[in-house]
Amino acid sequence: MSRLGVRAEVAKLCHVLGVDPAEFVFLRRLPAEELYEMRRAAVEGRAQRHARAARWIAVAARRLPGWLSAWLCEHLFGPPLVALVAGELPARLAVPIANHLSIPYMAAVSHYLDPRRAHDLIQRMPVERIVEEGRELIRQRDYITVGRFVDFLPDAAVAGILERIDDDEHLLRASFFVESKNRLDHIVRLLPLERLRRAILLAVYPERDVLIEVMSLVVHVSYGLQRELGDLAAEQDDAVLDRIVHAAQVEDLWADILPVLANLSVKSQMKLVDLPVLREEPEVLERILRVADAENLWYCVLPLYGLMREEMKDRVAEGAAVIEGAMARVCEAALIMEHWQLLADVVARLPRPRQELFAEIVCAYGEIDPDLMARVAGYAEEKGFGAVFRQPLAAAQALRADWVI
Amino acid sequence: MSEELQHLLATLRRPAESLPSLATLDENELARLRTAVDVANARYDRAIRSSLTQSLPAAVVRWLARSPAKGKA
Repeated sequence: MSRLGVRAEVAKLCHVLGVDPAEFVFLRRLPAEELYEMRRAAVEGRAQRHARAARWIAVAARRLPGWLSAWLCEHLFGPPLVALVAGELPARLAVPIANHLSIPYMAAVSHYLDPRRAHDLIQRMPVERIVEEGRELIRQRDYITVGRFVDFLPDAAVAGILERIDDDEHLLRASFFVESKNRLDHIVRLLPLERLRRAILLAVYPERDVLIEVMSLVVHVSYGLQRELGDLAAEQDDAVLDRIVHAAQVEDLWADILPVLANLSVKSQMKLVDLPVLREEPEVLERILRVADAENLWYCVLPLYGLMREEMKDRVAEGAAVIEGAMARVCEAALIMEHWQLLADVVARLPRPRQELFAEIVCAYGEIDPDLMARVAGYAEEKGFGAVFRQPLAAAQALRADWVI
Repeated sequence: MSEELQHLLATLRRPAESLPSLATLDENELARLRTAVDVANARYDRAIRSSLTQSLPAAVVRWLARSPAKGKA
């Protein structure tokens, strides 16, 4: 999962534990899957410890009319206990009770409710009540609870909530916590495009402080929509793009952002690679190259390299050359995405020993695909370092001649 | 395996294999996480007990809290 996904999971675990995520930043080093597992363990442990009480109260609730159970819930039982009991009741009995609870109380119960245990109840609840509850949670800025439930809500309820929330900042904040990214993509498509554009443009205003949420939304939607939203962000002035670059740098989000950059239109990519911040702050480019190498993202960097000015290309070549063992991994990316011409341009800027290493790696591929080796040797010739291929090419041709004989 | 990690896994009722990355946290981080889990559980249990004691006779609360129920009611 993405680094942004990890941040969302840390926030959700801290929400369950009732602690401030800022004090548990070290948890960002853990994989999202394990953070999710810990959260699940904490919630399940609670349900198991009080299962007996929850089941017997559920038995009693079956014998009472819904309005009376609701009154007892709201006046005698706190939201944590009611959330447990809701998970023990069949939906046909839980719905009449929930329908008699006040909206603020329902919202308080949702905070503790495990939506997986109350899936049927959520599906059978009247849409209007869900929408009201969603609005109440948003009013309380409990975006995490909204995000946890979105996976389980019917489309009509999600559409109703989207319609009734006028400030797009709330949508962005809640979207950050949606559990299933497939579901997020689907929900984003329920929004009119103009509204989505408005939401993305909130990144322009630093006082809104939603840059991370905007980045997360763009990172997690599907390919086509990602390009559209990414291009929209890239159309903004340099100050906005600088903020995105700085956020990616400071929050260590390049692994999430590089695939988005690779998916943008050429026009947006050209604007991005020409940002002064890349020239003026060498540590940014260095970080990008190191992340590309560590996370196998050279296939994202090479097309961007092709759009850079000569001065930047030199810096990229210089930066990549000092990364131990990077040549083999860049070659792998070039092989998969057929970026050999671009890579030949990088290698042309490197010292002779590096060019020889490049030729050695390409020749190893050439044992399986001689045409590839000949093609790359041609690119090297065009860039002025074809000499490093002459000897291996001759050897390969001799070997082929032997096979023919 | 450190004592903190053992305690944390026992509280979460998960085997070490299901949360292998916890072993990468240092003792201080594990202690902070374990404390957060313990405090959250204690707070939650107190809220449930308080709901029960306010609404039900003491004998019933004691009986409900005795042991986990067997099977669905």
